[in-house]
Amino acid sequence: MALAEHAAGMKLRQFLPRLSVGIWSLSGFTFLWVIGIVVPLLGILLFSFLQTKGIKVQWDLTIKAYEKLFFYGGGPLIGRTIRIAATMTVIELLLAFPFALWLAKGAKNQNLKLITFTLLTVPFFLSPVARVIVWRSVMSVHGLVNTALLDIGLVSEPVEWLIFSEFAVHLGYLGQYFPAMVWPIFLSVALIDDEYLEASKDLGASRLRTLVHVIFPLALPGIVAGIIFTFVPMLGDTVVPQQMGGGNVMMISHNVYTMIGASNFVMAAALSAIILAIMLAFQVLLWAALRPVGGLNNVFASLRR
Amino acid sequence: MTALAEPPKLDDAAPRKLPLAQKISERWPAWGSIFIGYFVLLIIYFPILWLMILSISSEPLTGFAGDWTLRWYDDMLYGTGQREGEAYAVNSRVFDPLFLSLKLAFITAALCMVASLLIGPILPRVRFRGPLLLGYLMPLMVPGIVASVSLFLFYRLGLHWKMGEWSLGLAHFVWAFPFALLAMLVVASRFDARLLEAAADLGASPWRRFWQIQVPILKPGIFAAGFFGFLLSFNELPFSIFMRAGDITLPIYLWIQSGAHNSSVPLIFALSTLITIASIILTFIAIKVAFGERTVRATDVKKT
Amino acid sequence: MAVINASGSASVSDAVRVAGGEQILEVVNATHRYGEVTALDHVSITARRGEFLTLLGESGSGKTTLLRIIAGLERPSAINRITIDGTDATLLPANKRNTTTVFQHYALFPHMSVGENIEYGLRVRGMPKPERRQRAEKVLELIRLPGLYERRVHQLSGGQKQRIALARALVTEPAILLLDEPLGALDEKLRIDMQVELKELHERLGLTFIYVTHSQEEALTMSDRILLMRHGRVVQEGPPTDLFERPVARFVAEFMNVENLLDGTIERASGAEATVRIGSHLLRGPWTGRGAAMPGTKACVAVRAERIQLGPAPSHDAQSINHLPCRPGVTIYKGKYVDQMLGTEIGPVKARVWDRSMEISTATAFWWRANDCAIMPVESE
Repeated sequence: MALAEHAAGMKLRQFLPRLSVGIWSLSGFTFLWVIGIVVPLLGILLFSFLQTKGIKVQWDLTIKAYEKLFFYGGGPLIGRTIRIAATMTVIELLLAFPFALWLAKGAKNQNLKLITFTLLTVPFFLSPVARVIVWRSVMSVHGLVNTALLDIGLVSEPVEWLIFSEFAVHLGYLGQYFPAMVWPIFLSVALIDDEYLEASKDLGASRLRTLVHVIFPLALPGIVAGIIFTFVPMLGDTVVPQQMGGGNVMMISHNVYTMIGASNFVMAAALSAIILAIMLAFQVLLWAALRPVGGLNNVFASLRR
Repeated sequence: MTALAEPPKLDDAAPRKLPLAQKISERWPAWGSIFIGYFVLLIIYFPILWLMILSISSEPLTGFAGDWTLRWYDDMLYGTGQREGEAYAVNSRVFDPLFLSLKLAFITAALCMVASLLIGPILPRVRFRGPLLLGYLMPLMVPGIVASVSLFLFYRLGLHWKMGEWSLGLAHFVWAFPFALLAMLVVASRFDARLLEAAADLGASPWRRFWQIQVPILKPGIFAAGFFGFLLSFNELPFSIFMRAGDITLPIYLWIQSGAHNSSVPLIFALSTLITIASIILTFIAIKVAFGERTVRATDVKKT
Repeated sequence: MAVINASGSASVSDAVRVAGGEQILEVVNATHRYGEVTALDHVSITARRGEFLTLLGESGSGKTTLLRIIAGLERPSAINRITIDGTDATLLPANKRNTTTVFQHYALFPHMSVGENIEYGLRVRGMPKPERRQRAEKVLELIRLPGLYERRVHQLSGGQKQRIALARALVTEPAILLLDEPLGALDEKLRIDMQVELKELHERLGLTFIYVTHSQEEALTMSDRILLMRHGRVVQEGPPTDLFERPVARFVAEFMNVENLLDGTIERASGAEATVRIGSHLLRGPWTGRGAAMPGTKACVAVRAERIQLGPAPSHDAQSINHLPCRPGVTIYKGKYVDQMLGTEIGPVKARVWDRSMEISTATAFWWRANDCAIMPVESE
């Protein structure tokens, strides 16, 4: 009897092969993705400790690239880039959080919500150059804003810092990354059960208390994700510093570009590796923020709602 | 909006009215956040709209609209009339990048559709879905320039492969796939796997189940993945900068031209306007396909 | 089947009944484990052609697992053989088995119309469109929903969806129709209507139904035969009256909603009779357990509330009457009848009183006929 069972059990493996086909394609794709994408991305950390001759790599570990980087003014460059990106991330968070909160829980007009969602989605798919190029002519010395200011009499001569300045870079970032901050926060707040909010109200909590003790902790994953999706891309933005800074505000992207152009690969790698390290630190932060709400696997459950 | 301005209850015998001061003090946070949100949206959309307006103005570089003309579109399509010798060259300088970008966008869209269809339906059902998702979404969290340099150094210096259109295609896929996958997951995580069992039970082979049940139901996700792939590839810049061998895509063309302080900037306004309008139309279609149908499907499944 | 084919022959279902003894399904020694949990423990079942067989049990009893194994949707951990309509189906995947399932949550394809849903099973068999449509329309009439052919699935009500799911499963003319708690998601009134309708449909088509449910009431109403399952095993098998009147174990009586289960020890046993001691009282009744009653083992006296009579026993014939003193407890008004709780030396007892003119709150004793109760072992194995 036991033997017969065993034999049948062996043959039964042929049943419903569908899931295993899926698992195969998933594993295969994941393998290619890791080899072709993840390894190169993390490989830059290793690469930054090497030296090159032409396009030949010398496999000796050294920190020469970092020494050179900081000797040639890499410190202030990285500092400025992080400062601008961090400032704008905080500003975006302060602007986006109340708006996302209202959009998720306050807004009741379905049409208005749909229009707002669309307005927040469309910018992702537009050319970044097309989105900022016009500021140059609007903000220039003879541009729209300066002419208006002169006409009103608010200033006696054109304001020069409106364009090709740190102010201009901040302005460029503001519009460019606002949706990336609103979306994650909106999603996390929208998933909070209305019953929690009602319960908090029933228990006599003030609006501020509800916000601090109920909404904020539950929205934390969204807030961290929002910070990642704005801060990290800002560090490496190519378009805004070039278009709005115009050579007056040097940020790392431009330097990476010049270094690669000059075949100074390892310095470019070192600069990139620093950004990558910051990004990895943020991923750890995201992981920690997601833990109390059931970890990353829970993201899938939230999609289903 | 209505939540903030609830109509007074008429059925109450003596409708109580909040004093105006109290009303304002209770509601200003909401009104403030709405104002701020739409103000930032204005900052996003003002340059886009103004770009379109300036592209039909005769002096776009001043930032002033008016004196309408289609001259810049004419120049863009047929070359600059004033500079005779250059006419033909300008023309092909715009169209060659356009065709390259279109080609890459179609390839990226196709790759995104296939890859997200392969991965999307299975991912929500496997054990390590969280870490896997994080791995797939990595390009979203790495600045474009860093990812681009990393890939360049790995393939060019590490493997000694020559850059070319293949590397542009790879770069665009890496950039677009996370978005495509997310769009697919929105649809796929609502897919009821019991439908496949029902089909098997009725006699459908695995192949039929895939084509007749899974693919039609996931169609919005597949379309959305394709649209997103197309649009993101078409407008992609940071990855393209390094992952190319002299190839010029449309965004790279715009980037180079806009960096140069010369008179071709008005042409860029015209070109950007056309690209923007096309992108907006495609985005609307994509949103309608992915999210419009999704609501119907979701209620279907819930009731079933 | 005749009805679907519209061949006009009304005698087919009679013909089927004649061949009623023929075996259409045989599952031999099926075992299934999910990790550490054994969902099905060496179960063997058979079904006759045209039979309405019900797999009854609580959730987790293995009934749905067994159904899914028959359908081919679940691959058993170990099995000797499944035979469906004369074909060895042990190694066949679901799509090659001649069975169809009506799922609890209907599983209608949301991207297809009602007609396309019903036709799907015919479509995968390569039947041409006009014939498919004709069959679908026929089966829609059969389930009394003509004219819904073009309707979208999301426009249907719960009851309609349930019937469309039934139609979709019927139209392929399977050897066995499997129904997995098909009425579970419906409200009570609809559920009772559907019970009658399913029973009628079964009679008309003469098809073999295997029906999974956790409701003893559904099982009693519709089945020819019931398999009561628990912990992955079949506890009792037989026609509804068997399970209702002659439970083989305390669990069966409990599951069949016998209100009063009085536990004690067997004092004497003689053939089909047994006497149970509970405290200082001796109760007697027919022995319904498997095998012979063993004096000294634990046993249970099961008596339904409506069999209990209030008042002093009409005679003191200890052979045919069990009687006990009591003090009246809570009275629960149930509309058509009243449930009277009685406090006794051997625990609370529930009596059901239909005669409203009776004075019940003063009862000091009650009795029941020995043949109106059943005595069975406490342990099922």
